[in-house]
Amino acid sequence: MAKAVALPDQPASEREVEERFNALMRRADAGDPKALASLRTVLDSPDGRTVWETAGDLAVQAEASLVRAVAGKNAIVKESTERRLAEFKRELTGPNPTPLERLLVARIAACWLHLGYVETIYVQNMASLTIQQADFHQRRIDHAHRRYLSAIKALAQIRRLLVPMVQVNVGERQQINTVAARVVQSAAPLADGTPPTTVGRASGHAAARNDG
Amino acid sequence: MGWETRRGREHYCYTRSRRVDGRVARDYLGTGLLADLAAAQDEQERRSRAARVRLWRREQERLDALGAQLDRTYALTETLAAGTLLVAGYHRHARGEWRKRRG
Repeated sequence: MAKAVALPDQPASEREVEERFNALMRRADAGDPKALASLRTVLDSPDGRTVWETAGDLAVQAEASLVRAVAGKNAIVKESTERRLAEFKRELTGPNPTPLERLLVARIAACWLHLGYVETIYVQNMASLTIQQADFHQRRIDHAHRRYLSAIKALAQIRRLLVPMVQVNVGERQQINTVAARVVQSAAPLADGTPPTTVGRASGHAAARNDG
Repeated sequence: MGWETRRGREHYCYTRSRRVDGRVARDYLGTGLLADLAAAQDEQERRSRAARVRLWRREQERLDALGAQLDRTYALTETLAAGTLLVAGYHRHARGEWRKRRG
């Protein structure tokens, strides 16, 4: 059995923890079984919690800075931006999100707000910009756009890979694959008298007929 | 553009340069009221340009700082997502797509 690599006991700064975590990740990604075992331990340890908390804090800080940048001193714009952000996150998060899903959704929301902000600045100043300034804004918008799309992709990937799938055989030839975390129990019996079974949301399941 | 000093006289002549067909042409405005007005106008234009540059630099720095803050959040979240996938038994194939590790 692979022996876990012990991390030093002395308290470390957030940066140090983050760096050690990154180093461990690189080794685990390269296929080092010891590093993978360590990573498993670290994710549940106080050091791991520090990394989660740091990520959460950073997301909150980034969001606050963006809201400040968008609203300035206008309290109404600030309030409406915060409400729109909360609504956006609620729509994306769904019921029973994991801490990682919450973090990924917060990242998407921050990227979305940032993209909207840099686009607005560009459009507002378009008429007075020099070619170099317009180029600077265009590059910034492209970067923000790529980051936003990539953040969405990461959430979709995590949901696809980490949320367990459940297979339910309803009839003889029909199977429904559904995401376990999203399932609801149907109350009414089916038309042919079979007992109620597990069904997913319209967007959360895929049905396949095996005619073989 | 500016006051020329010749033969020890500090404000000998005010000149402005401009480009004509790719070559530099210099206008001599001499001394007197017209030259003083031109000098004041040029000075005001220089200050206004410098203020615009300062404002643009501040704007760039502000946007850079905002982007850097988001970059750090982005990178750390990415690390945590990757760590979770690794622990769940996935590996990154050729530094791209995540695949379930065999065995």
